[in-house]
Amino acid sequence: MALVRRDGSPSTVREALAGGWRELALYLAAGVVYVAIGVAAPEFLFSWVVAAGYLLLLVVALPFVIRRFRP
Amino acid sequence: MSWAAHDLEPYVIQKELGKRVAFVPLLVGSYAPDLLSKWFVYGVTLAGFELKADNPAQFHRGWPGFGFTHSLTFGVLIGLLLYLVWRNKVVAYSFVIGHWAHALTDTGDTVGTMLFFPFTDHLFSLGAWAYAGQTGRYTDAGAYFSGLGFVWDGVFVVWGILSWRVLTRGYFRTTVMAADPFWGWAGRYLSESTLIALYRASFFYGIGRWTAWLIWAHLVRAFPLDLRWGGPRWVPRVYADELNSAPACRCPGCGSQTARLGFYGAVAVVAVAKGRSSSVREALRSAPRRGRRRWRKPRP
Repeated sequence: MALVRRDGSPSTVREALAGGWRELALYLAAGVVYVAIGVAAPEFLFSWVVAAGYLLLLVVALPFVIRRFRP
Repeated sequence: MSWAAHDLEPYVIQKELGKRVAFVPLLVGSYAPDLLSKWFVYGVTLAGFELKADNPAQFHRGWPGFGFTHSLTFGVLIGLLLYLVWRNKVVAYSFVIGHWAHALTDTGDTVGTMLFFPFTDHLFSLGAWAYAGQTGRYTDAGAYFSGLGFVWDGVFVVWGILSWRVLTRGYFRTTVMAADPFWGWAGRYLSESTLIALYRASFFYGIGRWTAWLIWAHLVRAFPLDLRWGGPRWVPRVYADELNSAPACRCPGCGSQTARLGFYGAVAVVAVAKGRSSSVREALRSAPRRGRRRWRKPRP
């Protein structure tokens, strides 16, 4: 059975998780924090730009900074 | 109005149409009807002055007002403009698909949308959940997440999660980037991880805000849940027949709730029956000739 479908996506959830569980965990953690902030301060939930900026900060910028300064 | 469906619809459409659509115009189309008008519906305060529409529902969905942005014709017009600028059919019709998804989704509330403006300013409305934009965004959020609106968004949350494959890195590389020129251009300046995060941002926003508003409305603020058609009944609602020239309109869409439900029910039954009859016709056509019984008029 092919591991990758014609559209480029993995053929099973297991295949998808094998390659990207760390990434998924990062997004889920970002999501949980986003929901928590949103419930505490709903103003945070109104803007797409704020959400996209927040996501970029948590899943791109933060890991980059950690990798860069890790001894 | 919808609070998460417009964020998630593009991913569901992307899953169904694959390389035949370009994601960014699809997403922009999905946001387009509210892009210029929503802030004025809820109001903003600038330097001590409050800017807000006198009649938010009329401004948002009606004519005179910005309601024309929710018409199917407006989507086609902007799609044509995009085609003239980019000369790319996929970009143009992806925008139209996203825009139409928004306009059709918004027919679910009690105000509805002027789908066929400028040919008619009639507001097409299913009246499933209350339009309460005039009450301000917090009450509107509480009302929306206490009625059938959040259930409708929930359909897209589940459908979006079932379409998880469109969120994978491989799908993005093979399908999304191949169909949409935006990503190739943006890829010259940004890393792949950044592009993928941007691509997933609306999905993240839709699921995140749906969950957060639901928790906020029922655990933090305790808005009463009312899943009746047209609910919640505790919020002051605006109906289609209060806008435009609707009071003079006698059609079932502008009539009572029961008549409206009956009308749409009849349309659904006819649509299903028509689908069945055409499938029966197809089956008969493809059936072997021998043994097929022909109906004959009985002799008197």
